[in-house]
Amino acid sequence: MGLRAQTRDHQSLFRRDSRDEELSFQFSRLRDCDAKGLVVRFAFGFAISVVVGAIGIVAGDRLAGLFLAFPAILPASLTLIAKTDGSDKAKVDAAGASFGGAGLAAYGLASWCLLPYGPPVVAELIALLAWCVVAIGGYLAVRLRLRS
Amino acid sequence: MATGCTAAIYTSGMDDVLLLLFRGCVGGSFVVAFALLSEMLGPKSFAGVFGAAPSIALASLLVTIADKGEHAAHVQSLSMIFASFAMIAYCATAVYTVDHFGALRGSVLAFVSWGVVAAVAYGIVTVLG
Repeated sequence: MGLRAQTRDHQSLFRRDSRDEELSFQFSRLRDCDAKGLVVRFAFGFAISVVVGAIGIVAGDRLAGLFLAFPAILPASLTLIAKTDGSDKAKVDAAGASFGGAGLAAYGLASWCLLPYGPPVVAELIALLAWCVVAIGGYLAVRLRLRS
Repeated sequence: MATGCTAAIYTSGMDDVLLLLFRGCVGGSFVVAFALLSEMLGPKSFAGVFGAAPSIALASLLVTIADKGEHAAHVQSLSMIFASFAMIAYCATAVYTVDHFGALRGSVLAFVSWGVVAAVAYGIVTVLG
């Protein structure tokens, strides 16, 4: 299958996933949550945070900052999703994560702009809000377009 | 004096190790918190958005601010802006590599695209100074 055909295939997968299923938030889904998967994610998060800190000490903050946008938990998530829900769902999850990636740019930008001027914790909270607006807003905008 | 100096280096090294462990625990907890939130959401494409949540960034920047001050976090934020393009490249590549090589090998292979774009990002950040 050519790259163009694959792209069409992935687009239709994403379209089907975001068009056919309603947005939902259910606490009951936590019952199906695999504890081992959470431990794996904690381990990935722990490891990459330690790596960021160690790079900051050894090589400086400029290099350490790159790892703030490191796909720390995606490999674990994709592997777990592929195992439980199939590889189509894993591909759709990766496509959804690209919106989160765009949100990271907004997070970094807001943090960079606000840190010198206000209380740092407030700056980080506003940066988190910027991530939500770009990542969730971007996803919803694309979804709305696909459904219309 | 030499003993005092060694003791100071040892103490500073211990502080660094403790701080790294603390940083790891905070980062791991944030990752699990966002993962739990993502588990409760549907459909999978929407839950996937939280796969690239700023869990590591939030944890690391807060600890960096507490440890080194705002300036260090400011420098890291600038790098993060450009590195986010590497994250997008990773996600886009993973869609294809997971298809071809399976979830585990595909998601690991996609790191190549992250590395390439992150290297370019580092070059840009270095030039910007």
